[in-house]
Amino acid sequence: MFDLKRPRLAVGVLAAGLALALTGCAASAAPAEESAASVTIETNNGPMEVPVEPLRVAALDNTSFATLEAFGVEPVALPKPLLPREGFNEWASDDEILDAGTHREPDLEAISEAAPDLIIGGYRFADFTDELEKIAPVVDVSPSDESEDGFVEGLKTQTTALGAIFNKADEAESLIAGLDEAIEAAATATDGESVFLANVSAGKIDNGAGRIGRLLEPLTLKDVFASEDLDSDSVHVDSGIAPETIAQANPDWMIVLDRDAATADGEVTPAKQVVAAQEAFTKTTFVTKDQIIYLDSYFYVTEGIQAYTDAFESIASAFNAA
Amino acid sequence: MPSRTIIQTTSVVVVIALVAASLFVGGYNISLGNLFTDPAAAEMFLISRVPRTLALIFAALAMSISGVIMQLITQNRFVEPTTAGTSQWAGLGLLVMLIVFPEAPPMLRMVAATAFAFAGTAVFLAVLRRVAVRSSIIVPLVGIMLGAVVGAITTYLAGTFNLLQAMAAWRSGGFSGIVRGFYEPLWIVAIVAVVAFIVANRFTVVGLGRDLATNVGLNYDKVVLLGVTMVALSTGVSTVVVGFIPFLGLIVPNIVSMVRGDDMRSNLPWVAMIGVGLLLACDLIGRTIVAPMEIPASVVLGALGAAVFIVLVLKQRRTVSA
Repeated sequence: MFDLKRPRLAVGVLAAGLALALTGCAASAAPAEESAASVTIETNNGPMEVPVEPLRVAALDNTSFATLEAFGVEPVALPKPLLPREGFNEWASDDEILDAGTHREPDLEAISEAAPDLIIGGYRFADFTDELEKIAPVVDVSPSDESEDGFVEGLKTQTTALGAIFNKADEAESLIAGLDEAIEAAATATDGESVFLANVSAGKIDNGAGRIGRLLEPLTLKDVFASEDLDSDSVHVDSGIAPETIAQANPDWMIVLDRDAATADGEVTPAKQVVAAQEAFTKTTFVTKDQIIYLDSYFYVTEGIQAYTDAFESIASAFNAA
Repeated sequence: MPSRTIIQTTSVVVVIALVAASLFVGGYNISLGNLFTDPAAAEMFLISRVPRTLALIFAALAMSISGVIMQLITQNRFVEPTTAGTSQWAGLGLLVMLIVFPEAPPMLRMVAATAFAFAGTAVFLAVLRRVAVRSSIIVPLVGIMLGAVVGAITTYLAGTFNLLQAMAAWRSGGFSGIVRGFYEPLWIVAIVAVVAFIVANRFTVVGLGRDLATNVGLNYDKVVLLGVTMVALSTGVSTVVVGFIPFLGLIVPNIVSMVRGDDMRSNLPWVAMIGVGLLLACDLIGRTIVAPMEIPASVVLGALGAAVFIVLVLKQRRTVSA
């Protein structure tokens, strides 16, 4: 009964928003405390009318989790396997919050059972938008490499949009100010140095440009393996690279995404150990000068505005200390 | 036959050239000239090039010798570790180890992979014994089916325990990360290869079938057991160190048999050599065409092997009534 009622209700709220008529809400038998207002936001699929302060939110885009938490929004459904193992323990252990599965195997029934008024989708779940639309309206405000101004700018757009939906414009603004400040600090601290972006996965060091190349967007750092035919669309960006090739490129710095630490329940060979064991690196600048920046262990699954703010802060402090 | 002599001489020269190429092609600037003048180049040669070339040689030996032994045991030309499920079982063993004992040292992982490979090969032989129709196509189909089932179980388990990407990285069979300190277990394969040379004649007799082999005084079961052990050991170790290497064990023994006939003892050096040459060539293609990135040798080999497999099947149909 619940299941049947909710989607209709969501449609009702949307309609009400369009007409700006409270009677519309009453007609669809909405409880009085349901918000009647709505706001038009720019999504990755064009402008969309979204109810303000929706009560039941299914959060699927992991880049939004930390922001939602900061806004005091507790989702009704979440892809729990994508939660970092630290920092979201309350959500992870709360049985009231249903597990939406992962983007490889989403549990659409659980999402439906949670009866959300709004689904924050996109990013890893972008492929499921059509199916999710049948459950509730889906907003996709995820940052994206394809967006005109790049991923990092996308983080700001996302935060502004979430601020508008949850009526937390001030909080959103301060998050964005924090990111801008960190970018500014990192941009000041760096000056065209060369860098290798590494992704350590299954104990192997690969090129991580496809994943964290975004960090360089607002900075002047030069990726040693950046080239026209190796843009992030190339399938070969992450297919493998020999340690000797990295040693030959001899970058000044290395920035490491520790994928193993973020995801593996079992085998965790911390990236530090893998890098330290790499004999081929011993004569490189980044090893001899100890110029290696390890991103937060959970960066691979956080990736939101807070994660990028932290990353830019650690870049700034590492370069300032060098 | 003069043409055979020409073919054999040419292949010796080509394989030697490939070994040289493997030692001197790569991301780090090493040439015959600076090898003796630049200590950094000499060091990188020992850290990266020699181990990688040795790893390629050992892995090729492991797969091609395993292919010969399995083909004689099953009296079928299309059987080898990846078409009989042996590799997939080794993979399952590795994954089970990652799940139940994630901190296990590499040696223990290899023991697990080898034990699973052994059990899997035994299962394959047992199933085969109960299959009434043992035509040249049915036998590998049974193996491929078993392998697919085991592979599916592995994928399911990996998905459940969040190890999918670790499994994918490992499955893709790359040599890009091979440096000193990573390939050493493959020396076990060298020992297996020596044993194979010593007992080659017995496998040739096994290839005549159980009745004939027993008639000429061979302890059939004992030799089969030895063969399965050798196959499991080489497959288990090479699977853990470099991942799946498809088709090598299938293509190489068949090509050699086409040229030289079916005496395993005199064929074995050729099988070993052609196998090494083929894998070296695939790895060289993989490391040059998208340089500085790399394509795993197994991917190149998979594309090549699939084509040769089809040719062999069609050829077989013409000469032997399946």
